[in-house]
Amino acid sequence: MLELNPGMMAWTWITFFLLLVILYRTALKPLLSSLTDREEGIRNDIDEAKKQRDEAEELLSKHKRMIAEADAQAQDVLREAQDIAQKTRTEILEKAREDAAREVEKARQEIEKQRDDAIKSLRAEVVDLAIGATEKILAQAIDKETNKKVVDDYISSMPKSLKN
Amino acid sequence: MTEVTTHAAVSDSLAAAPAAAEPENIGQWIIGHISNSDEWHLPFGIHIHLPQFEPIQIGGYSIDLSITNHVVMLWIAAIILFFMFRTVKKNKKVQSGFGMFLEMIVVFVRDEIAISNMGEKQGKKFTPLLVTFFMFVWVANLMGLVPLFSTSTANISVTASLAIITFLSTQIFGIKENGLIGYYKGLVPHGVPVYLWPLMFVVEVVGLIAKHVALMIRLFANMTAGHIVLFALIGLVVVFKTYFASPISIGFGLFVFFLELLVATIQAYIFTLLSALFIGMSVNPDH
Repeated sequence: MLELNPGMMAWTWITFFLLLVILYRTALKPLLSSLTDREEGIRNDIDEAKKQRDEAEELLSKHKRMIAEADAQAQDVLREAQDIAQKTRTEILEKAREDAAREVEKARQEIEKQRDDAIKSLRAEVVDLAIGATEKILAQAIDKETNKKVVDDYISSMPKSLKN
Repeated sequence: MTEVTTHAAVSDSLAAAPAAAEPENIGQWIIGHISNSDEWHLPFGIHIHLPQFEPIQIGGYSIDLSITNHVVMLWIAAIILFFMFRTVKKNKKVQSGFGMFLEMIVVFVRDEIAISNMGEKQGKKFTPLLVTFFMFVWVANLMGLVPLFSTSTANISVTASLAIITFLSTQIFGIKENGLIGYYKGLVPHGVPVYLWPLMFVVEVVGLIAKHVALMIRLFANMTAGHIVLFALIGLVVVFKTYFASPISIGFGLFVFFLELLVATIQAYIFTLLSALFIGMSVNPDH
């Protein structure tokens, strides 16, 4: 039972090596190469996916940064615009107020001047009328010069308030 | 089975068994069943006589290339494997059906046995050899548990041949990888003083041979022992000469049968694993 039989051993070797060669040719070689291919493919896919994810993440963070920057810029622009608008408004208002005040002043001066003129001409008219009337009344009793002087004195003695 | 009649040898230890008149006994019957023969025993007393040849004389050795029972069993195992692996579709990236199962085994052998013991590069190179080892030994082991067939791996010539294939692989590929001097220098462990080298070299060479002899004996002894136990349990019926022994015979026989299924697989795995380990050690001497 324990002795080695060379014939049996030879048959074992023949069978084994024939089997090895046939299995290798028909099944193991294609199977192993397809396995390797598959593993290679999966590994490549995973690497590719990882790379793409990294890229996507990078892009995403870049875009986020860009959006944040744009946001900040927009805020700046808005604030600036608001500042400018505020300033312009204040300026315009100020100017308008000044203009209005100036116009009012001008108008008042005009009015005053016109009133002064009116008063002056009225007074002259009044003087002339008074003189004429007085002349007619007095019938030339007093000469023209004296009369005028009398009336002027009178008018000058009138209260100042009448002037305005 | 005509031999299954008596049991003289066991009657010494089993007082209950009656003495037998015929010369044959259970022990011989068991041995007859697990040893090689020139006939293929089929049920109903059919015996197929296998062709016998005159021994060939080569350099003083007589090599008997007769077709024996175990040779036929090896062929049948090879044919089974051939048809099993025919289900592998060549130009498909993903196998289907039985091919998936084979692919699983191939991946297991490649990753768990070859690459983990030999490294990525060498592992991939030796995967076909190891897959063939595993499947061949496994199928041969399992065939021993199938009626009509006998266990070719319970023949020490077969296991010796397989162990010698491993041994030659370690030597050939070890020398190919590391050079003749480099390989045998690598046998001596690092850090051994120079004056101990001759001794260590002898020790390592003996160890190298012993490892492969152990590989041979392990498979042979496991397969032989399992079948001896199985046949002995079945033989209990004959020994006790009563059908009342049959529940014990069948119960324990069934148990041992399932144990043998496990052992057949484990031994195929261990044989492949150790082959991978030995070849890996010789091609990568630094590890």
